[in-house]
Amino acid sequence: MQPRDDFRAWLDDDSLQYSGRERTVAARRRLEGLSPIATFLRSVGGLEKPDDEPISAAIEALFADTEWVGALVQEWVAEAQEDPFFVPPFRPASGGFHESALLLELPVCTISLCVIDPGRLSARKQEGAGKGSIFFPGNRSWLKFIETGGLQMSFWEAPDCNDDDDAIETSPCVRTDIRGIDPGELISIDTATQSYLFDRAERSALFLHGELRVGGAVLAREYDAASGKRVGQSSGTEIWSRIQMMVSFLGLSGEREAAATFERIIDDAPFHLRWHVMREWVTLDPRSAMPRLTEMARNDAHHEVRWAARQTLALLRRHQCSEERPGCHSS
Amino acid sequence: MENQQIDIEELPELETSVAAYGSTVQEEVGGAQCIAVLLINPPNA
Repeated sequence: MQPRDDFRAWLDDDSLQYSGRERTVAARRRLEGLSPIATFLRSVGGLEKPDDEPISAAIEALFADTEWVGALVQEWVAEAQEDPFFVPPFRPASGGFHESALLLELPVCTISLCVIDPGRLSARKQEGAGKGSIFFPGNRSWLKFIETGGLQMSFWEAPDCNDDDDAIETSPCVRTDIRGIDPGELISIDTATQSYLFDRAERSALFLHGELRVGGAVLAREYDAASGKRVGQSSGTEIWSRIQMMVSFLGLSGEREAAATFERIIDDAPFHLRWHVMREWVTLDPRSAMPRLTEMARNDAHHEVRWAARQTLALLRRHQCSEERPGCHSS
Repeated sequence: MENQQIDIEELPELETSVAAYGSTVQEEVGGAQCIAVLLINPPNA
């Protein structure tokens, strides 16, 4: 591929590239300096601990008046007219039918500006023919519509589910509403038990999307769109998945001195991770794991964990028995 | 109890399997998961 002359000149000129980067940095400074965004950053950054209520309030305040979005986009257009190689100051993200600008990426929340392409949305719906899943990621989210584009959405509910409930929730998810979106509408949704689908749009739909990254559900749940039945679950937070991976590494590396770490993780972890940690612990050092394993077998909040711990205690007894008395058959 | 050698494959697993963050069984029809931002490395974390 041959670059056009102006692009060739840009590639060959370090000063042009440097000034381009400076433009992006300056645009970022102006973005963060816009009064609503600066207020939002102060509100969220000043929190001593990541509490979801004040962060939610800050997101709703930021979305109350969206004139700042127009100001931002106009500025980027003006920059691009002056310098066609201008890189706007955000990380782009895209999906099957939308493009997003990640305006703010914070440990506690994300704020993005999204546009839905009606043609791509329609193609996706036709291609999928209604097959697939409805996802309940487990976080609080906000959608603030700037241009509705004749968008129609459907809303869904899944049963409330405490991951430590003894009964595995088997009720299906159900559609509760299907409707058009009003200009300027703010949709606040807790995706632990509520979700939504973009069904169709007549024109491009533009909206702000805010999402909390703290205080969410332990599990994200996925339901089959046709039957409403639950088809899977995944960790609702990245942190627990990272911890799970690190515990596996400890196991693979044969780290036998990790008992105190395992104990601490089990104290706070969701049910699936409690058992994941205990499997590694028993494999590495069954003697130090025994008190906690016994406690799990008796009192763990989740019946599957209690069952697995009892099975493991029985297995350890059989191992011990056969070591002490070959031919022994302990039950 | 002597410290026995146990193979992890001998130990039971839970009936309810939980996948890693961001994993899905099916493709989403077009909603919350499509729009959600799955950040691998948030720059300010």
